[in-house]
Amino acid sequence: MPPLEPLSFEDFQAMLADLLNVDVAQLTPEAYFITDLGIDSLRMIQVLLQLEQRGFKLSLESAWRIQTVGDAYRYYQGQGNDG
Amino acid sequence: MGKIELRDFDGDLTALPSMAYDTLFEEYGQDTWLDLNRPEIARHLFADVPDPRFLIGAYDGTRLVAFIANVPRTYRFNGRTYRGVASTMMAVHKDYRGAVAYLISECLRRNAEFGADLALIILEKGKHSWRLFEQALKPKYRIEQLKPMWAIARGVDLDKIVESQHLKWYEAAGIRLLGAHRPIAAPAVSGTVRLYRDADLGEILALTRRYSDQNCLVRVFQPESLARRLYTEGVTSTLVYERGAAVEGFINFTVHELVSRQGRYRWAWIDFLYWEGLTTKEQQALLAGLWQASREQGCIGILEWDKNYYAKGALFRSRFVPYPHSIEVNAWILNPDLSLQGIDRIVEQIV
Repeated sequence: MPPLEPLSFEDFQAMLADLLNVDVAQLTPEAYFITDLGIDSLRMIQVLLQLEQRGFKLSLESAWRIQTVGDAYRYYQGQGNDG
Repeated sequence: MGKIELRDFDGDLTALPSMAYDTLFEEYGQDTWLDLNRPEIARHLFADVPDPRFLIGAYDGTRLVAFIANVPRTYRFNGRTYRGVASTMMAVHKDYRGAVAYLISECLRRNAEFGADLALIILEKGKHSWRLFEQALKPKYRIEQLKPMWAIARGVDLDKIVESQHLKWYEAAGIRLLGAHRPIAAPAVSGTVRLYRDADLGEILALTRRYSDQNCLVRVFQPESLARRLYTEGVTSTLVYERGAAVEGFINFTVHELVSRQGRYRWAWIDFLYWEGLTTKEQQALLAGLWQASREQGCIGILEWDKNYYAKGALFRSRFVPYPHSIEVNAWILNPDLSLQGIDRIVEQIV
């Protein structure tokens, strides 16, 4: 299966905005999911699982590393570099 | 507010209620909720925790914003012994609800390090944590629902029960009609019902080892942890039935506080019980002793969760009635060779 086309940050923001049902303008790299965006734990885990379905490999054991939008995008980019 | 850090709980027991109470009042509205965050209960549970890594705090700076306790426990099941944890006291500050996802993440990691075969999790249907597990986690991870449990209750102070549970007049009338609020009459028996003494520990430990583990998850006690379970001042107590200088049965209970906006109400929750060798009258005598002990400790009622590992006829004869509350006992299975599907009995406390 060919690798997924890497997303730009803007496309990644749009995907997140759709998953989180928030305005894309809120999804700055520095925005914290929990304290700035007010995402609750149910939504948080649902989003991680939905990202996984879209090719974003993240184990639940590592979820604590994803605190900001920027963290999420850097983690996503790091997976792309690993091939 | 910003980055959440996960680290070993720093031991400040006063931070637990500060963190959790607003969230709980909001989630439960006018209903009562079980206060696991009060320092006496926390101290009692944490006494079984040998290593601070089992108590996980989520912190925003120095402020505790979420917490979970993974209390290590040993279980028997179908002839084998398993290393488990009871994941309990999960609570979060209302401004940091998403931090629970991080706590669960860290729990998984630490439980794997510990080598846990399973983590027991008790959930109340309809509450946020239940939705988290049902909708997000169960579809993806091996989380087995072991047993739903319903409660039956016995009144000690009916007026307080009416007040705290918002009982309708006909519900209170039904309880009065059944006599489920009066003292439990102690039938004449040959043995003696009395409070637990330290010298009883060995005999009670032996009784706990008689529980059959066929299709039943059985908590395994060591003497030190059992001693704490049997008696911790202000928290746990035990009545024993002694016949011919031998302890033949016991009922162990925890004095819990259920909280609502109306106030705090003490209830005696039956945790561990052994009465297989007792007659029904002897069992009723033990229940009569429990009723008295509960009243002396300021409890308004007694609650029993149907763990299904002992005969319940004596409870119904003593006018225990259905209590409109249920929970689900789940197990996050970490050992790929273990399955607890289909078990119908659990020898374990609810907290």
